[in-house]
Amino acid sequence: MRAVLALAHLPTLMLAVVMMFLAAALVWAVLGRHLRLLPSASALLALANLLLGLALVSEALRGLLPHWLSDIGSDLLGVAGFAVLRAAVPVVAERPPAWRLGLLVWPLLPEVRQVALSFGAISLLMLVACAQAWGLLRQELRPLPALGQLFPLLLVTLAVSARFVHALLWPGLTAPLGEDSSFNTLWLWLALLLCLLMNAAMAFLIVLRLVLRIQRLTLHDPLTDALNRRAFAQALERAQAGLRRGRPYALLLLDLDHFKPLNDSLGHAAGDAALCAVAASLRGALRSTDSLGRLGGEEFCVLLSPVEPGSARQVAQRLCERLQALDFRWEGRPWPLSASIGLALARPDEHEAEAVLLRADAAMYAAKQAGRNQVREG
Amino acid sequence: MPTVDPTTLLLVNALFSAVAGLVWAALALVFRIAPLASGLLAAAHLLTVPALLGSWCLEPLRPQMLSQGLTRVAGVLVLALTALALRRLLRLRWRRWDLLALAAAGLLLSAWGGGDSGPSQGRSLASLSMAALAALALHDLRVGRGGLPPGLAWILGLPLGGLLLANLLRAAGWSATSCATSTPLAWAWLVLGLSLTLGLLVLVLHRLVVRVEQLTLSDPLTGVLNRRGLAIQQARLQAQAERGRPYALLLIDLDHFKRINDQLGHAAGDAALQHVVQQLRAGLRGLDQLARLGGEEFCVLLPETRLVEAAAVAERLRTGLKTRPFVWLGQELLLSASFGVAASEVSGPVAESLLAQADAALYRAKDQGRDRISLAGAPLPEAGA
Repeated sequence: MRAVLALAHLPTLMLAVVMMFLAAALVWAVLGRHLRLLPSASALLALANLLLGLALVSEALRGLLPHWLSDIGSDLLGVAGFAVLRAAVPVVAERPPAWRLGLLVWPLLPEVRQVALSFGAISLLMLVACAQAWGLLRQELRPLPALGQLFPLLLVTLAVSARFVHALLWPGLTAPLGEDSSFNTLWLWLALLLCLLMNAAMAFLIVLRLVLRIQRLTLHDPLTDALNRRAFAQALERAQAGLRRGRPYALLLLDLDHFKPLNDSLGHAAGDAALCAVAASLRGALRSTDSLGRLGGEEFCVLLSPVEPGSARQVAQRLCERLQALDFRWEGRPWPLSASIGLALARPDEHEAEAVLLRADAAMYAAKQAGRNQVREG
Repeated sequence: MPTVDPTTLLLVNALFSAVAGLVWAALALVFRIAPLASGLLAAAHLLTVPALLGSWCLEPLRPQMLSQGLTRVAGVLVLALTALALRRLLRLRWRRWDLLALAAAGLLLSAWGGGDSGPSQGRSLASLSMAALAALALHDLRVGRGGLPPGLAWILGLPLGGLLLANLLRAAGWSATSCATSTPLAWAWLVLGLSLTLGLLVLVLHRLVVRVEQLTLSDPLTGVLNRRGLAIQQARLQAQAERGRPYALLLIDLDHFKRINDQLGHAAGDAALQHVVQQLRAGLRGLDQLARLGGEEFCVLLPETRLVEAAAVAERLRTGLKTRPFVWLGQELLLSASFGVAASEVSGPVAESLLAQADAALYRAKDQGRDRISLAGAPLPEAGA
């Protein structure tokens, strides 16, 4: 290892690290501008890489540049780069950028070069970024996968904190980066790794976002966010399997009454808003183990699992009343909504979920025939 | 200005390749994104490390042929795996044998050449086979660049072209020493490797973004545009209509469709909708857009089409639908549909009103007994049946 470190030629290494940062900045810029991949997050990441690359350049040119310029380069540009990186973390999750801490650490930085202070600020920024990334990841993932996602970012934090501790304990040891020393060579190797890890970490966060969005889109109806027919059929199969193990379930089919006149007289936008309002209202009355699906058009279905017959009837009645009480308005104009509901309780002797679905469908028709806005059991 | 040290560049390149290999492995195993292509690229990047460091680390190894042979094998494999992954990512026909045969031939020839007449001829043959692999990858890119934004084709094409050129030069005897001692060679491998890797990452992310777009804009059951996708396409035609290029719109509603759903079940209804989409597509041009507005209602956008031509298209679709029955569990069902036709040249280029007029025409067609077409803005309602 020492032999490898000794082999490295410091100016070459510096040039290579700067090149990596600039290449990363270029790639993020291309991703954001041309592929429209989370444009604001990509722009911030391009800026962070650019600032860090420039920080190294001005540090490398120490001696050629005026002294104060190199100081700005090494400390301020470096801290600014990490402040932008920290700001970009919530933007990946489509939230506003977090600038506050990045701005707060600013006055702490003294005018004279003080490695410990700037790395303290950077470590603090990265720690906060990690904590927030953890919070955001935990909303979507279980602890172990979330930790895996966070791992590269944690390594980056560890590296900058190690540098902070080192500067605190041995303040005399840090020569300007341009000077050839085995410590500087080691630190530059670490900076190279840091550049790669930091960009990999952010790329993973963005990829995770896209993958989750694709999963959502393949399982959910994009308008109402209820399960689509395929996903609901899967949920129904699971409930049917549960029935065999003695967990009863119930199926409700809801068809909105007089929906076509709403679409025709107020337009499709009004119809869409009504569907969203209905889905939200239904969802509010269900437990986390129940499923809400949209079969297309104005037809919804609800799976109650596990459920006792008595409470299934209660829930069906409650849903019917909730929809009737829903105060839906379009451009200030109220429009009454209601639904005809068919309820079917799965029987232990039924081996196919299809049979339950047919009974619920027949019951829903009976409710329509009997004058709408009511529950029928099949 | 201090000189640049090739060994350091080599080490930087190796570190980058190792991290990139782990990133590809994570994409393949954790995110399951294009698992096969990402897996191939993970292997290619991890193999790059011995390909780069082999000649330098193994230099003391005797006989020298062994260390050089290992480096060569790794180099050829890296390019073969990368070319395979690119073919996969571009969604080209999944042929493997040309690339694998080329790699194997290169390896055999270089081993044979190396044994026969010294190491330099062996290296030339290996370089030649690497150049051929790069050329094949470039050919694939040329064939498959249709779906890519033009910038992305360049981002991938330039490093591939660079690899082709560098390997050809090397086969011709350029920079005969290993890349641990030749600065231009070390630079070439670093810049080309870095840009190719980043280009491939951009390609994978581009595919993900396109996938999300497709999912948000298409109907999951039939695969045609959904209402949001239709609105976007119509806005595009709208802009063209304002510049004097007319377009037409057909609104299609299947007749008595609820009966199928009620009597045969939802599965039959879904299959019938898919059957209808198939029939409609068969009667349309490549640039026409088909959308499902929900339920049993469809819409067709016909660019560069006037009302009379649109009416002819609608008539063709109507008869086409009637002549090819929908078959469900051995039972033949005749489907029919009512059509409302509107065109920007008659109705004026306002999106909302064009859709509303087609809707009004559709209602007229339904009113007059279904299975017919009706034109918006036409003085006399035309009967199709």
